[in-house]
Amino acid sequence: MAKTAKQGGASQEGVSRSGSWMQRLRAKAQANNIPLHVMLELTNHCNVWCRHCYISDRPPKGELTLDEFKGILDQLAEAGTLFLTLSGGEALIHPEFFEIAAYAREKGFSLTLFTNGTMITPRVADRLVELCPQRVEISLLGGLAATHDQIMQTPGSFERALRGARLLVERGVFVQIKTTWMRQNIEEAQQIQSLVEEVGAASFRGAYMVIHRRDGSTEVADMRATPEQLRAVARRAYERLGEKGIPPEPEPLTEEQRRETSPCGAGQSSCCIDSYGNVYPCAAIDTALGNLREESFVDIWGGSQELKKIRAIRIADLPECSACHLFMRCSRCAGLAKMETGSLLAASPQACIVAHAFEDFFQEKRCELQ
Amino acid sequence: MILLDQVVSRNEKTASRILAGEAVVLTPMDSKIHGFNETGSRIWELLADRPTLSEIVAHIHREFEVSQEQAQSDVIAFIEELVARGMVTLGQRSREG
Ligand SMILES: C[S@@+](CC[C@H](N)C(=O)[O-])C[C@H]1O[C@@H](n2cnc3c(N)ncnc32)[C@H](O)[C@@H]1O
Ligand code: SF4
Ligand code: SF4
Repeated sequence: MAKTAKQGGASQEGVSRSGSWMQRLRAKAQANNIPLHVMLELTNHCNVWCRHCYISDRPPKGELTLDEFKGILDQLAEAGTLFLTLSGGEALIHPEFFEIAAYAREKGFSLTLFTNGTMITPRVADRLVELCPQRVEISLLGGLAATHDQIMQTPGSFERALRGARLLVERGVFVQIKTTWMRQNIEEAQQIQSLVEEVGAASFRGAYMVIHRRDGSTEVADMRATPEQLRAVARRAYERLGEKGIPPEPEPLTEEQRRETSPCGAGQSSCCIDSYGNVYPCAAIDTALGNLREESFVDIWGGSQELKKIRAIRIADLPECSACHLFMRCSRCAGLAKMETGSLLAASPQACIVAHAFEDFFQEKRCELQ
Repeated sequence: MILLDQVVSRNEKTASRILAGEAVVLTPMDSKIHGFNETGSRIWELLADRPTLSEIVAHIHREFEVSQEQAQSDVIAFIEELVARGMVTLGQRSREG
């Protein structure tokens, strides 16, 4: 019998707390080979010069044209992409940003924008609101102006990023403030927290993995937080929250998880496209799967042998990590592991340092408390 | 009250895709994600062309082998739900177009 519209025609759930819905969507995307999430880098140009930035070719030459971007968006809509993240470089510096973004909205994509926030004037904020973005993520690289401006190598960028965030919050946009933790800023977590509250941002996220530049150079490694600094973060959580600041012991992996689960989402139902049309399994894995000036998206997404190999990876294939008791707590990034060791399957020395700095501290406290 | 000659348009603020036959619709106004069943998904798909309610009813009647009456009451109930959730707007077809 045919189902009618009335029989449970529509069900809904909040996106922000829709873990189960998103899980279902992701599972469906994976089962049907749908690239649900795509990050599209509009340009490698930027108006600032972050010391840690993984983008290495500046000024870029021969980036995609407006028509090429539109053609790619047509193909992504056809392939089933719903969540589109516009990034860069600095996407807002692209002279045709609003044309590309408006075209994406016409095509039904849910938009997220990654930006350093410094170019968001009241007028830009108004135009962004018209695009109804799902969220805007703004990078804040210090709790003090001097730190942020020093990392971005641009005086005034701290104030401008915060102004950008405020202008969007005032207009009802979901703003997430984002910090890449580094040696220079990790001790300013408290100030960053206060700024997030003062600005009224809807959420905050900090990331500990600092990846190498795309040209393979490794000097950004010197910017990573030290094990002592990471340990101090754990200690502060403990001092602030007492026992509640100590997470329960990490759950060991089950045999089923080892066998069935992919260690990360790269290439499963998401990918990244750079401003030259190269398709990558994610922004951090430097293996290009193909180029959209030469092949169609569907041919790359469905036909790349490299991608098939990446999709087939299960936790059990990672010799060190599958045996590691910290796996469920670890923010290992396969792309960084490859940069560091040459293998997508290896443990990531940087992830090991972070995971151990936290867990060793918490483990000591657990023992003390027993 | 909903009239059958009214045109139904998707709210421009929504984002949506038909994924393996099922419409997934995001409403940024309230940060919600909505999923529709087979018929609901087909109706959402039809809305891309800004049809009138009677045009939607005709499609559902034909494609899902339900009676005209059943199709009409189901479509109206569904569109009323979408209006209530702010996912669509109702209007008149302009004479020119
Ligand atoms: C490349 S930027 C592009 C978007 C925008 N220009 C911005 O800075 O937010 C995207 C994010 O990557 C982060 N990022 C840049 N270089 C990085 C690196 N080497 N390792 C980890 N994250 C990095 C930035 O701090 C930013 O949050
Ligand atoms: S603002 Fe973003 S793109 Fe620009 S240099 Fe910094 S991290 Fe790189
Ligand atoms: S990267 Fe290191 S800490 Fe993380 S799971 Fe692998 S071995 Fe364990």
